[in-house]
Amino acid sequence: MTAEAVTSELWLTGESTPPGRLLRELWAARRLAVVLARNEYLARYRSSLLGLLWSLLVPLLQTVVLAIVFTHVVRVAAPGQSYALYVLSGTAVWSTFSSGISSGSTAIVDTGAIAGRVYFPRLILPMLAPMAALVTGALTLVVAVLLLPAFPHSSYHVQLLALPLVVLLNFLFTSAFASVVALAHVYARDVRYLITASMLVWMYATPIIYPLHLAHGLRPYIEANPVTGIVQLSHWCFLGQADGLEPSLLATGAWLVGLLTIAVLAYSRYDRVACDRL
Amino acid sequence: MRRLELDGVGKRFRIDSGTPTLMRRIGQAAKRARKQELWALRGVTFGLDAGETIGVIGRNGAGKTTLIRVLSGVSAPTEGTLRVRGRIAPLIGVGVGFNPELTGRENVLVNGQLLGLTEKQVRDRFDSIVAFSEIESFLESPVKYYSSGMFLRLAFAVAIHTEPEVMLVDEILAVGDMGFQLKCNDKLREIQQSGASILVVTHNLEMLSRLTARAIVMHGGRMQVDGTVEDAISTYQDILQREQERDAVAETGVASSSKIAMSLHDANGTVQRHFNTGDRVRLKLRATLHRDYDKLVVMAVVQRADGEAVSYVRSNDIPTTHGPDKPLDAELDLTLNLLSGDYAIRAMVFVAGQPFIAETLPMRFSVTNFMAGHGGIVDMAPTITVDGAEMTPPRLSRLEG
Repeated sequence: MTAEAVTSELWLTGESTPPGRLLRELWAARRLAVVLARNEYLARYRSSLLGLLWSLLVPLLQTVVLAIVFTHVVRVAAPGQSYALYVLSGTAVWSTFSSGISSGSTAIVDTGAIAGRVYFPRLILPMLAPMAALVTGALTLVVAVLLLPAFPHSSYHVQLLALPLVVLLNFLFTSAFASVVALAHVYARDVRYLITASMLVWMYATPIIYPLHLAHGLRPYIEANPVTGIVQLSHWCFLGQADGLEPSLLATGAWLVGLLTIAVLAYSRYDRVACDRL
Repeated sequence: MRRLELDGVGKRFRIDSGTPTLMRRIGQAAKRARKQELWALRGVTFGLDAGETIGVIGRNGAGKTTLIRVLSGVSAPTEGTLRVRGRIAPLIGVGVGFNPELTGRENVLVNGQLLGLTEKQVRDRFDSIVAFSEIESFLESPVKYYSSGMFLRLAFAVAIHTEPEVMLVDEILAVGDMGFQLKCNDKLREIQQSGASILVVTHNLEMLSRLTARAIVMHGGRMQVDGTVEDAISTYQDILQREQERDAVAETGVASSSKIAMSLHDANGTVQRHFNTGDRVRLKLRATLHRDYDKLVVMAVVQRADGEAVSYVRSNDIPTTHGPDKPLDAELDLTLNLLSGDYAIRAMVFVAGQPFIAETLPMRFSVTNFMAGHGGIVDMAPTITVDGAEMTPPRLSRLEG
């Protein structure tokens, strides 16, 4: 061991980490992140009978319920489109987002037992739930693709090839948002409840159960919602077209850049002191 | 080669009582409230070479834990510079990330990687880790079915196999039974001989002097001594003595000028604040009274850290007269049938049926229990028999090397 080259070096002056170093450390911790995410995933489904199937059943069940309610009770169906497929393609995105946020946004505090005892970039903690959600989210989309011919007015088309983009965009946005919120949660614990409450409202501000054109006067606000762009992209992939795709994607992009910038700046300041308060 | 270099390291905490909430944050911002500050470490400067071992001693709240957290990188220093060359393994990280739902095998893989090994390194060391932990047959069971001893053995085995260049040990060598403790001590010595640097935080002065010749005394976040273990121990005992004199003298009740000074000693008569379960201790006290009293009673109360009394003991009425010219000297010998934890003892003198004449503040002390599978407050000296065979975990009077 004495002759061995030094495997790592830690040199700290002051509390903050320069952004470049933070990103390098984050990159160096990528394998650890995968291990921890896999762990979270395994642990969650290990003890349930249906295991992984649960994560697929939930969005499908939701789709069935919504499709019945809104085609037979409220009747919002657009002509020439399968409302059920519309709901399924939106729900798949939303459930991935919301499951990533629900545990990602409190991850630093919730994993205090780990984070308070060994150092690795704290930024990976809020990304673990989005990473686990990425897997189930992608599987849900695959199931949706397989079921596609069963929906009325639906067939395979070239736009489906853009689905990986939906998964990627969803993961990036979920991670960026969860990271910023998770850090805020360390310093203000009621952020947890704020997020739970907002997710409820947020879902209805996203065109999942209704088509965007029904939003009328509220439409500009709904297009400014960062999740709208991702959901609309998913609609575009499955239905071959999406109303107002460009402005909402532009909004998503702007939000993403803004949140990533905030995340990098905030973590470069607080990464190494965030666990002082746990 | 310098493994550790600390130069003027300080760590400041802002004291913020209660749970931080959004409303409080907004309130604080609006009032521009100044929070109280506490320097948990200040001006800590020392270096540690490859192959060197250093001990850190100090009473609770002296900054030892903060020092370990800063060294492990979990908490960045507010001021000063910290340099660590090489992989550092915090033994405070024992069992970090163990997930009860996952099997022993899976947990070893995750825990090892959390402690800085690559997946391949963990796999290479896997057999050795398992052999060390002695839990071969339970490897494929979820950790939630492990006994606490098995859990700790496995966790400790991983931590000790990370073969770090710098190892931080924080009072954890009281893991498992005696055989396992011996094995841990051997392994630690092996790591020491292989050229790794070790920093040990401990209350156990005996263990310290066996492991190293150099020690630091921390007090109030500052380094008091960086020298030989003998110097460190004597400084540490001075600190305890000074503190005890300050704590022990208290004035209460009707007779404000009457006071009691007390000190707590181990079986050898040395002033001590840390004991093992079953130790015989002596409480010496001297009550100086502002006027003459007859039929005094002296009493001592042992309480838990939360103030709940564990036990009290009082004397008979003392027939002789005590007063300004004749202080009352008493010695109370007690057996600490207490299990691991922080406790306090206080003493008072009074005349039966009347208010206390003098009373001390609680003097804190800690007790360590070396029997696996026995917890709580009181040592019940258990014996467990299952199907006619004795299943009592081994009991140690103290950590043996």
